[in-house]
Formats: sequence, structure tokens, C-alpha cells
Amino acid sequence: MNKAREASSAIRSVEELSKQRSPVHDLSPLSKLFLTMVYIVTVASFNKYDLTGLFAMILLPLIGYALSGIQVTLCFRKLKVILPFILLVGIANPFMDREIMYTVGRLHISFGMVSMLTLMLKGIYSLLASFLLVSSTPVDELCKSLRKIHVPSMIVSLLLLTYRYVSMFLDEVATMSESYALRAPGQKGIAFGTWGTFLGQLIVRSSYKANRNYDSMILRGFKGEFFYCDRRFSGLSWLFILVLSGICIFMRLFNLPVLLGSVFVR
Amino acid sequence: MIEIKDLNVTYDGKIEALSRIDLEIGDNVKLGLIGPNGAGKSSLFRALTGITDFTGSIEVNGLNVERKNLPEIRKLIGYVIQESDDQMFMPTVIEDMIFGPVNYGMKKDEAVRQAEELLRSLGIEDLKDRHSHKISEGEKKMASISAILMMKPEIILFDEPASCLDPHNRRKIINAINEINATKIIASHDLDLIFDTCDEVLLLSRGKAVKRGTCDEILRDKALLEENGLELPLSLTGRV
Repeated sequence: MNKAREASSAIRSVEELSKQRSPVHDLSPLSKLFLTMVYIVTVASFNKYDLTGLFAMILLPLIGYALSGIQVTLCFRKLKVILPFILLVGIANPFMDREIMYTVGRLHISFGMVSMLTLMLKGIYSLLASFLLVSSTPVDELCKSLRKIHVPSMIVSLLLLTYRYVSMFLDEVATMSESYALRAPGQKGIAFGTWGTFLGQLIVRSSYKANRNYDSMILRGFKGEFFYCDRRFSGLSWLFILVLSGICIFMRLFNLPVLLGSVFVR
Repeated sequence: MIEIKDLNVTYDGKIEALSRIDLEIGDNVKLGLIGPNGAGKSSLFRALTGITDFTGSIEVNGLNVERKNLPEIRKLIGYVIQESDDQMFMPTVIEDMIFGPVNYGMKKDEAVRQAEELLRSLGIEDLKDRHSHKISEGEKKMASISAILMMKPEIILFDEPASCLDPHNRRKIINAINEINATKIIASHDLDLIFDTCDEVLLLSRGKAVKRGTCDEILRDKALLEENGLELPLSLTGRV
């Protein structure tokens, strides 16, 4: 399958995933948004050498994935394009910070290596939490949550339209590159000399299509603000979120692996 | 009731899409709009709904097509766009169907109930939660017509309602159009479809209104049709 079409279909499959039913899907979107933000801020706030403390933070997303029925590997498969960037974030640290922190047998582990691993884990955890949020919450429910916390309507509409525009843009890329490939047999990708025309046409075509979509929206009474999903959620979901946020903060304040270890090793 | 006087539509200041159109369309009329490519059929629809600029005047049920009246005009006129993909921008069929009514103030629960009822009456209730990009062309067309019917318009504009459809789906669309009780203006190259759905026909060519008459008068006039880049409907050629 064409890569652009694959990407567009991946976006849509995440949208389909978000409409399944599970205890996580049924939680209030605002509470999930809140918890994800608390989680990411907590993870980001860990000291760059606190690798053991950070290990325990994997528990929350793993519980979330287990309850939602979404496979953890799916997150990595869908976001494989971003993964190398996350893994490369701290790549220079082992060279900059060579002081030895631990020695395991003959293996010396430097502060730089630990901080690199910490940075990687922070990135991966944030990715896991964000993916769990978007794959268990339909985008319109997320937008409604943003409106509830008073994010301006224009920004939320822009976010929603951009989200929809991305799939449409990718579909256009797919259609154009397929028709290019059909008349350029044996070529790998699009010839460098054609990039300018291709991109120009792509922008013109997708903007025409976006205009036609917009026409169709205003013909049906669109006045600048989307209506968003209006499902009702029980107060229990808030209780659940408060408990989880508490656990999150507890794990930030106390090093759980060390605490557990001290029970067995004295 | 639609009254069009001296309508002109020009694109980029030089391409004349419609020129000096005068037209009156009464209530519950079923008017077919025919003409070769570039005759101005879609431009007429765009002008009627106020999504393209024009000079001259258009009145719909006594309301002038101008900025301040557009919300009301667009409630009166439903426009089934040629490309269903351009019309259906919400993820699922039901979400697309309730988009218009909710924007016009209907409660979401009520809109969903009415949409379900409409889908049932059209015999396409299985489309309800389907993703609009994953259904066939015929289903997309039925879904986009349903989305317009949800707004209960008094006038419906159909732009090539049966293009790209197989004979079975084409017949399904024709039957659905015939069931609708409203003023209908149908633009199509499919003259057999026009014959099956309309009482009157307006022939447009190069942006001008050439002739208006009953289906029999226009669609049986081989010379007139050929002069304007069209052919007799297949059902009248004796080949079918």
C-alpha cells in the first residue's frame, strides 16, 4: 500500500479504536485529559539520574492499556516514525557526562548513560500515555474537554479541522503519488525535479478540497463552532482519576522500586 | 418559489459561467437541468446557495440571496454535492447526518432519533455507524442524500446524483429521489435519469439558458440536444 494511504488509514484506525467500549473508554474525557497531563508532567519532573524511580511509572500506562484492551505494541507500531527521534534525544549525553555512576562487574555505567536512558524513558512514557489518551477518546470528545477548560473555541475548532485536514491531505498525497507511479514505471519515489510541481499541485488540490468541504459545512449551518459529543459520565470516573493522580504523585515523591526492595533486602 | 433575474456568474473576472439567466421555479416543481460540461449547472446551484458571488438577483421564498439571509436560505435549500466525499466530512454516517440539524439548534438526541428513523425508511440503517470513507460510492450517495433530507429542506438541488453508480444503485437513487416530497432541481448528463425524475427541463449551454419545456419537448428533440453537445436519452433511441 502507498505510504501516504497507509498513514491516513492509520489515523482512521486510531479513530475507530477510540470508539470501542472498555472501562478506560468509558471514563470522562476531561478526566482522562487531566490524568494524562498530570502523568506527563510527573514523568518530566523526575531527576535526570533517577532511573529507578522512573521505572515504576510504567505501571500506570500498562494498567491503562490492559484495561482498555489496546495492545502496547500497537502504540509503537503506529508511532514508529517518531520513535527514533525520542531515542536520539539524549544520544550525546554519554559523551558529555562520562563520570562513572555505577560499576556492575567490569561494566562502568556513567552518569551520561543513565541520563540518556532517563530521557528515553520519559519520551517513551509520554508517548504511551498520549497514545492511550487518543486511542481511547474520540477526537470530538477531546475537543469538548478542551472547551470545558476554556481553551478558546477558535483554537479547538482549528485543532479539529487540522486533524481532519491531515487525513484528507494524506489521501491527496496518496492519489497523486499513485497516479505518478502509474506513469513513471521503474522509478523509486518521485523524481527530484518534479518535487516542486508535485508539492505545488498538492497544496492547490488539497486546499480546493478543503474549500469544498467547508462549503458543505456552511451549507448545513456551520457557524464556526463544532458541536461536540455529549456523552454523560459518572462521578466515579473522577474518583478513579483522583486516585490515579494520587498514585502518580506518590510514585514521584517516593521511589517505589527502592521502597519495595527495602522490604526484602535489609 | 425561486425567482432569478439577470443572473451572471463570472470566475476570476473573465470566465463567464452564467450569463443573463432569468428563471422562475414554482413550488413542488421537478426541474431537470441539462447541458454539456461547463454549461453552468453547478454554478447555478452555487449561486442559489450563496457560495459563489454573482450579479443580478435571486429570491428564494421571498428572501434575497444575500449575506444576511444565507442561514435561512441554506435551511430552505438542501444541496447534494456531486462528490459525496466533499460533502461527508464527519467520521461516521450518523454524525454527518446530524451535523446540519444540530447546527440549526436541534437537540443531539432528537437528531440521532430522527436520523435513525430516516435511515430505516430508506432501508439503509446498516450504514448508521459505518465510517464514511469505508462505504461504497452508492452507499455514500445514499448517505449524502440522507444528510440533506435530515435538514427537511423545501428545495433540494441534486448535482449529478447518479454519477459513477452501477445500474442497481442508480435505480435506487432514482427511486429515492422520486419518493422525496419537495421542489427538486436535478443537474445531470444522465438524460434517462432526468426523464425518470423530472417534469420539466431547462437546457443550459455555455452559461446561457437555451430552452425550457416539458421532458417530452426537450428530451425528444434530437436536433436541439445534438446542437448543444447532448444525445437523445438511451431509452428513446430504440437501442434499449
